[in-house]
Amino acid sequence: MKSLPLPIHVRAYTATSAVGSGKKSLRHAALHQSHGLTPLCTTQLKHSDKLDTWIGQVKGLEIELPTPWAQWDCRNNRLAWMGLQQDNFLLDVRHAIERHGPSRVGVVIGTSTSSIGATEEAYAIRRATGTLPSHASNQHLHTLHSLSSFVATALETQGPSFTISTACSSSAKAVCAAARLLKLNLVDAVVVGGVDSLCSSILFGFNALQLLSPDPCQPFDVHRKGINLGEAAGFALLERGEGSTQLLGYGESSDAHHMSAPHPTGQGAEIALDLALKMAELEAKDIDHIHLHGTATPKNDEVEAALLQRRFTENTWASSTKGITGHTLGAAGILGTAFNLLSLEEGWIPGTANTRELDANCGPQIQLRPAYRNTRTVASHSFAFGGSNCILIWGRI
Amino acid sequence: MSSLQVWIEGVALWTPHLPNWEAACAAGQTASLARQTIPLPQILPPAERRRCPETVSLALEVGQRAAEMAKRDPKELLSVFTSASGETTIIDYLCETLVGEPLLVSPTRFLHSIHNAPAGVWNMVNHATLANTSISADRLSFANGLFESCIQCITDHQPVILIGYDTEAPSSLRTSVSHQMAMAVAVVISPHATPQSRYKFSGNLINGLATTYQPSSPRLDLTTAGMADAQPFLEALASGQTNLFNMPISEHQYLDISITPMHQP
Repeated sequence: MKSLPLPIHVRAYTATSAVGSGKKSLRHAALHQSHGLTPLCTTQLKHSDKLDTWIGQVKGLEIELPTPWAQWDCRNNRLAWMGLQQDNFLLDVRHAIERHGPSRVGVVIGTSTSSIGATEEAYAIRRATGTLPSHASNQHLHTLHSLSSFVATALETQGPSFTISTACSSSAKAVCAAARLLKLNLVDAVVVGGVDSLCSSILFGFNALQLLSPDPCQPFDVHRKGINLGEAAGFALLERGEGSTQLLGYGESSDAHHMSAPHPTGQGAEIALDLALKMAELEAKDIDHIHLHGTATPKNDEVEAALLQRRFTENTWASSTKGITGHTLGAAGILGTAFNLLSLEEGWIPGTANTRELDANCGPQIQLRPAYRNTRTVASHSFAFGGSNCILIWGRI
Repeated sequence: MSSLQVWIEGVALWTPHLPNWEAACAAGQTASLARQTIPLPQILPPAERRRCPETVSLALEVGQRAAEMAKRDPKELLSVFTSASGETTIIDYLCETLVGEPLLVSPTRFLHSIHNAPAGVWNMVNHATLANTSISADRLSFANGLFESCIQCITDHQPVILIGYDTEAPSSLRTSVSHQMAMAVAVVISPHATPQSRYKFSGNLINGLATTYQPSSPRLDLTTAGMADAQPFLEALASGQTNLFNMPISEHQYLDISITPMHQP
């Protein structure tokens, strides 16, 4: 049996997305059911006139990174830096380094895009001018690990650091990797996070897969038409020891079915659920709220709704926030964690923004409206391309 | 600080000149092989085999061979995938297509560009529902993959397969991504000794700069590969002797490693 013998608590967390920077923005958007989505054609993003879809864009990313970090400058790392500066997160990490020493603080970040936007730009410049720009030879930038190495440098940590890239489960799996580092006493604290930014690869890739919605996305709605892509940066500082909010359990599994469609019976997701519940020593009915993956694709929502009906009672409420922020891919997991932790600390749960009429296969669990609810135990779902599933359970002690 | 102890049951390597582990062990003692092409995975149906991206072919090749050496069914293995640069051929294709005709991006090729595509395919073809992960740490991707594999092996008390791969970078990306040689490596590890254990591995996490690795008579030339950092580990296994060496996992820390061959039954 996998056990979580150590208490692991959340020392600090923050999230920045299309609805604004920091927890206050997330809270405001959730409680007012307001979204930060805009039509792609109204943005300055490249090729924005070619696709009919809505996106969740973060404002204010025109500012370059501070000069010492110029080699990492790109949209994704600017978003990471913006995210790190919210909610006193930098100060909390600095204090953790003072408490434990820099080599005892690790950094595990999830991303699917990392700096690929910079590589796209290099090719665009070559098409226009005939040669690649000088930044094309910046090997610190054009690598998937660029984000994590930038974050570790900016935070001045010297503990273990690697990048997890498993599409939409990346930043949830970062929490699991951090828990293992803590369990084996290789670190005393870990900065986990996820940052993904809007770029042509994902916009046109998802368009090619016919998964983009031309309207604001409507998770679990009978008329849902697919996803809206979004960008976000989220981070959490996990530390060994007791605290008011703790990681109770986690479960990871593989669908082993298809690269971009979930297993039709949700069996992979259920394996992850059972592993998480077993580790947490809980039953499904003990979960007060689930932050759903709820991307608004026909398949994901169908399978996820069926899983809810099969395994949970009406006492477990559930909602998807993809209608507020868009689907932020590599950052989706950490956003789910941020919503989970806000629920535990503040006693409310988000609704399912933009959704008007629930699909017939949705049970009583899915909430359209936000609500005040005294939650003790919450969970988040992340189900990714490649059949990667990750479920986290957090608790208020 | 705890010591990571695992037992190595299987290993596999592929480079254009060393297309299997036996060739790696004999390297330096036999004439160099002519440059090989990446083998297409026989486990895939013919139509998919032809369209298979190189990273998937590499991952399936070494993964299958290491699992066979370890006498392990892939279904019983957790898996950790690692790559310095991922599927650079498709990244090149994507970036080129996005500049010209973005609406013509191939959905299949987009899916293949996702970093965990080889992991997803591995689990699919093996009908394996245990978790996998896909990581990167740039030029230290092998060491970090090994580190994460040992961590999962010990915390979950489960055997793990580590599968690492990098392709040769296409010419447009040669300045961004330096490596010029395709390479794949796989290792199967177990949390306790078994009849198929071949080596005992022990690693301690140490703060500081590792001593530079300077083998006196190296068998393998991996310097132009994305996972050149695997060299000390692979040399140690190929030598058949006890080896002590360091592997950096970052600019601040390294693993102080000892590898001891087990007696074969």
